[in-house]
This record gives sequence, structure tokens and C-alpha cells, in this order.
Amino acid sequence: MKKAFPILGILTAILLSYALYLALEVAPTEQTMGDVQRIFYYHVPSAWTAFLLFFVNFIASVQYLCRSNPKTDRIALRIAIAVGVVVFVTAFFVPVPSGLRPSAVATTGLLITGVYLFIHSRFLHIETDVLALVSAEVGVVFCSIVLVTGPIWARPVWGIWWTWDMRLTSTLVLWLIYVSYLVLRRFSASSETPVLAATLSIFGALCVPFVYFSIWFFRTQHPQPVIGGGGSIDPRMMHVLLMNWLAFSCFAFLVSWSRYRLEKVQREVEAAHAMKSLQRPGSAR
Amino acid sequence: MNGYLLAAYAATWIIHIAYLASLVSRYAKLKREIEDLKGSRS
Repeated sequence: MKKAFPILGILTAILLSYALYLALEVAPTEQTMGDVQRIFYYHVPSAWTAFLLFFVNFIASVQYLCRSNPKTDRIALRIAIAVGVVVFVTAFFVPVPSGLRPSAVATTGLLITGVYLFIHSRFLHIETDVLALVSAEVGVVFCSIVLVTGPIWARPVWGIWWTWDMRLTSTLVLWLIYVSYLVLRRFSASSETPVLAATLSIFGALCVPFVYFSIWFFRTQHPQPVIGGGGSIDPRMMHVLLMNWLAFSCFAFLVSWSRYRLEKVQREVEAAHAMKSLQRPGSAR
Repeated sequence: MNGYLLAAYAATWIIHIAYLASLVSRYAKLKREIEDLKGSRS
């Protein structure tokens, strides 16, 4: 896998450059907003990538808590499969709320079970904690981009940088929850920190659907969603949006992978330091 | 290019590059720690 990293890095750089070219040159200019609308090709893919990373953080945190006991591990695995199947079936047999596409609900169901099973099969119990930390950290980077690019778009379009509208406020709260998660991980030396952090991240993850659905539940200034919701978009714009999302997702994957390796080596070094201090003459009593 | 568009795209890449720089710095620090550990063992 280590040999694949430089190749994937080069491919991702090409993909990001191509996506940038599509966003600036190929995508049609929006009639009312003009070129400012092109911020959307960075803002929306960053938001989706952040949500995906927070979702991985949630699943990894749940597994870190549940896999400490074989019985709770089995129960959690069955619940994850059941939730995925129920959500998938619901999408086709139960009328979904207006504005929400059944295919989006079905994909969410598949994603819940798929990601849970993937992490369960590929990561050891202790590695789920590393994965949770890494996904939260990279997710905060992408969420920061959402919070920066949003106001830059809002200023020329709405005439204001920020409004305490439900979508904007809930996104800020989501970002603050994950920043507090990272602060907890960084500055708490207690052995219980991973458990506390995993619990906090579950609360953070509950905020993600609230952020996404806030534009259905409340009257907001934020535009309606273009995928999974009732909004519509020019197919050429959609192509550019999806290419940018693919590019950002590949970039997020590579950065997370790199950060994951760094964290694992960091923990090994810490363990070696601890071992060294134990072996030091006079340290054992 | 529109100023707001340029600002948004520049801000995105500044955030990404700053994060990547922090990773590189952490890698360098870790490498030094590993060399110290190896040095103290030999």
C-alpha cells in the first residue's frame, strides 16, 4: 500500500487540477449570480466531504465503545446491519418526506451498513480510535472551508457575511463540537480520554443530520440542496460539482491515510518512551 | 476573475496547505524523536 501512495498522490493532484479547470472554465456562468456562483464547486463538495468524514468518525467511535466487549460488539454489528436494511427498504416501500429522493435514503442505508462492516473487518479495536481521531481532524479542516467559503459567497449574493439562520448556526455548532473533540484529544492525558471523546463524537454525529435537514425543518436563507433533495441544477454544473467532490474525496482520503500513519507511529514512539522510562535504573520500585 | 471567487478558492487552498504543512512539521518532529530513541538505545 505504501508504494501506491505516490501514484495516488499524483493522480489526485491531476484530478484536483482538472476539477479546478472545470469549475473556472467549463461550468456555465449562472445567470443571476454570475461568477460568484462558482464558489459553490468548492463549498458544497467540502461540506459533503466533511459530513462523510464525521460519519466515519461516528462509526469508528461507536465501534471503539462497543468492541471492548464481545457481546456488545455482536449486538452493535446486528443493529448496524438492521438499521441499514430498514433504511434501504423504507426508501422504496414507505413514502419519504417531500423534497427527499428515495435513492438518497437507500444510499444512506447502504452506506451505514457498508462503512460499519468495512471498518469492523479492516481495523482492530485500538485502530478504530485512531481512525476516529483522524477522520474528525480532517473533517474539521473541510468544515472550516465550508464556514469560510460560505460567507464569501453570501456577501455579494445576500449582502451580508453572516446571518444566524438555522443552517449556518447548526454548521457552526457542528464545527465547534468537533473542535472541542480535538481539544479534548490534544490536552487530556487521562486514560479515559478515548472513551469520553468517542461519546462526544456520537453527539457531534447526531448534529450532522440536523445540519442537513435544517433547511427542511426551518425557514432559512440557505439555498435548497441539489442532490437528494427537491432542487434542480443544470447537468453541466452537476458534472462539475461531482468531479470536484470526487477530487476532494480522493484528497481527503490521501490526507487521512497520511495522518493515520503518522498517528500510529506517534503512538508507537510514545509507547517506546514509556518503556524506556520504565527500564531506566531506579524507575522501578 | 471575480474577487470573491478568488478569495474563496484561495482561502480553501490556504487552509489545505496550512494543514499539510502542520502534518509535515509533525512528521519531522516524530522523525527526530525516533532518531533520539535509536541513539539512546545504541
